[in-house]
Amino acid sequence: MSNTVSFNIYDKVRIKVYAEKSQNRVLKKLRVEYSFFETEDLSEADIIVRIGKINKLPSDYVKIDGKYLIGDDWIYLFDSYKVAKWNLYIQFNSDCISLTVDPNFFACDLIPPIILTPLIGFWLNKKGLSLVHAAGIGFEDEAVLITGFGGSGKTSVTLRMLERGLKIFGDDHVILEDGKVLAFPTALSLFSYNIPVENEWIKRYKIKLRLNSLIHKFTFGYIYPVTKAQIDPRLVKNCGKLEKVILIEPSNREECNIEEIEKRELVESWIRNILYDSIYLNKYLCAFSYVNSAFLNYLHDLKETLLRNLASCRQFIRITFPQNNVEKLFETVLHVIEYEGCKLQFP
Amino acid sequence: MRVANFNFHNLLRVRFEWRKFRALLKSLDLSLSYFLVDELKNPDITVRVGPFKPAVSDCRVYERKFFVKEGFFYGEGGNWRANWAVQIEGLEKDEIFVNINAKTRSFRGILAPNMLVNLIVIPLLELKFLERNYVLLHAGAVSKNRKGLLIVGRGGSAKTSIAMDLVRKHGYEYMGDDRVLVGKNLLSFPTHVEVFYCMLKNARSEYLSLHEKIKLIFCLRNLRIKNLREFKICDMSPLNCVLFIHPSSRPYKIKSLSVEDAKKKILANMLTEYFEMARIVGLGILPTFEFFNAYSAAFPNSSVAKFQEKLLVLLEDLLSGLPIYEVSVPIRYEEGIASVIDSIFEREIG
Repeated sequence: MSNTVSFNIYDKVRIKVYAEKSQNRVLKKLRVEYSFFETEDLSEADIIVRIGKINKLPSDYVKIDGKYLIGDDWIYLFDSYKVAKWNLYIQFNSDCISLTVDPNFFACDLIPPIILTPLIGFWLNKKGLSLVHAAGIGFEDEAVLITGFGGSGKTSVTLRMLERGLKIFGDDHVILEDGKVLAFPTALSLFSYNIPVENEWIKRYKIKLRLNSLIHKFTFGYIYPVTKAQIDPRLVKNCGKLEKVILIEPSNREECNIEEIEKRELVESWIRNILYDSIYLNKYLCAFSYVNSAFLNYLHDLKETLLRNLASCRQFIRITFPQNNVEKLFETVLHVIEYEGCKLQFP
Repeated sequence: MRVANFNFHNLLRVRFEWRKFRALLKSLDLSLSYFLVDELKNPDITVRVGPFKPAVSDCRVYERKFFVKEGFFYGEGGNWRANWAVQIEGLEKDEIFVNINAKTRSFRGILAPNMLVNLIVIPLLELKFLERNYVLLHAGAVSKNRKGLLIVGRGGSAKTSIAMDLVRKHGYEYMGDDRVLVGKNLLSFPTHVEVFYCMLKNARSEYLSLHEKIKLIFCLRNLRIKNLREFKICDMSPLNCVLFIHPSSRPYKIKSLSVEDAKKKILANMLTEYFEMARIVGLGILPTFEFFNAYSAAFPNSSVAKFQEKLLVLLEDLLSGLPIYEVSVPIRYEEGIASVIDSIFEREIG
């Protein structure tokens, strides 16, 4: 069927998406976002996504805040962000999560980053894996993770690494499994500030990017279409041993600072980052756990799982660098991972 | 310059200073009017509203808009209703200075700056009260014969209506309908704001015409400005019973809860409240939540980062040994709810 698409994430999370004819646009967005994991067909699925109208709700529920309907194992809600609006129904079964989303025109872009990716993280956490907010760079058989809050320069560094001929695990999220890094390459989100100077591969997105910034400007920041660049699977490395975690923090000081930090300290900071990254899902889970208190353990589990998966990693480094000085950041990161790259010919 | 001083049960003293503020907004800052005092020495928190110069040198930057250093925070934000800038100094010290500047845009944004002041100050109050071993809870409370009943519920669970009915018909004394201080005793914390929003929320769901909505807004505005001191308020009472109110499709079911569950529910309530309060100013997330999150990421050992941990420890201490129940009530408020709650309370303390 043309309006079905399946994704298989290392057999840990299998996602099946059904869309109504009118919502084929969402399907297109999902295929761009998770193109790396697309498969032909799946017999079973862990996350079943339906995109379209939400028809019938179970009759037994608690209603809070005038918008959340919460049952024993399901939640229905209405939410919005600026012009984007969506209705969402999530049912947590023991062996799968099924959700139905009814987005408006503007919410299509938001479904992967604010609902589906956090939900994948939720499921992976259940299986003892961590989906973390970080960029992963592979050299030889080893992996270096670069983590930092949004806008700190993860994507910028990743793009420059690609330019140098290194392979990546993902620019925004990677999966951690017992000291191993598994790739989770989603489409790159391009902003005018993270485009490197000369890059053949990214060049064709420049016009689209400029157009989108214009829309952003003329609507006074009300509408901000994100430019998504589908990632080439040849640039992706599937698996590697976790060697270092680098926390990058922009500051408005002039000088760069490199220091080694404790694992605990990094994890505390990282957890805040992950929490912020999946804030919408956490908001829904919070409302859910107000009624069914079992779910609040999730945040605690998240930390424990992350600590377990980081057990074999020894080196944690924090780089503080001058804000907006991506070149300097890149130099410092290269210095930290002690790597002299060579220029790669892009396909 | 206009000044307003608040003294919260001698636990916390807050001074607001308005520089350059629009006349229209003068009457809208009374959500805490119960605690208004004429003079105040050594305020714990000083809030200055108006233009200010941020001191952001030597800071770490998060999300391109939050500037953080030891005890210091500066952040900007905005949407189509309002633009604001907030600076908090002395977070880890005894005296906090807050600077807030906001510019409004559309009609709905008129309410934004004052709401914003509350949105930013209330989480700060929570933080400071916790340092003094009191929890500022999002809950209602009433008392009868010096026995206190805590009513915890999310928005739309008719906390206000229940509290009012208990006071009017069942001889209770009022302590608060939206927020209340829980420590070794219950302390009153009467506010106005949520009466306003709760009712407006109902208005939205009942599809009033624009004309009716405007009338309602004016009517409610006048209601808010009335002095709460005329109301019979009990300031202090021990805590004897905790009830969680769930508006449900299967009403009038009563379930006993463990302290562990109650703690989690209260934390979830607090977090959800952070998200829901933000909706008032048209935001996805409460600014202070974002600020504190960035600050905790920068300083994992600070009191801001340890807030939840400390809250849970204190709640364990405060709630253990108390009767705690979860009560399902009908989604639409009816007077029978107050009677049911009264009978549960009578049974427990009687």
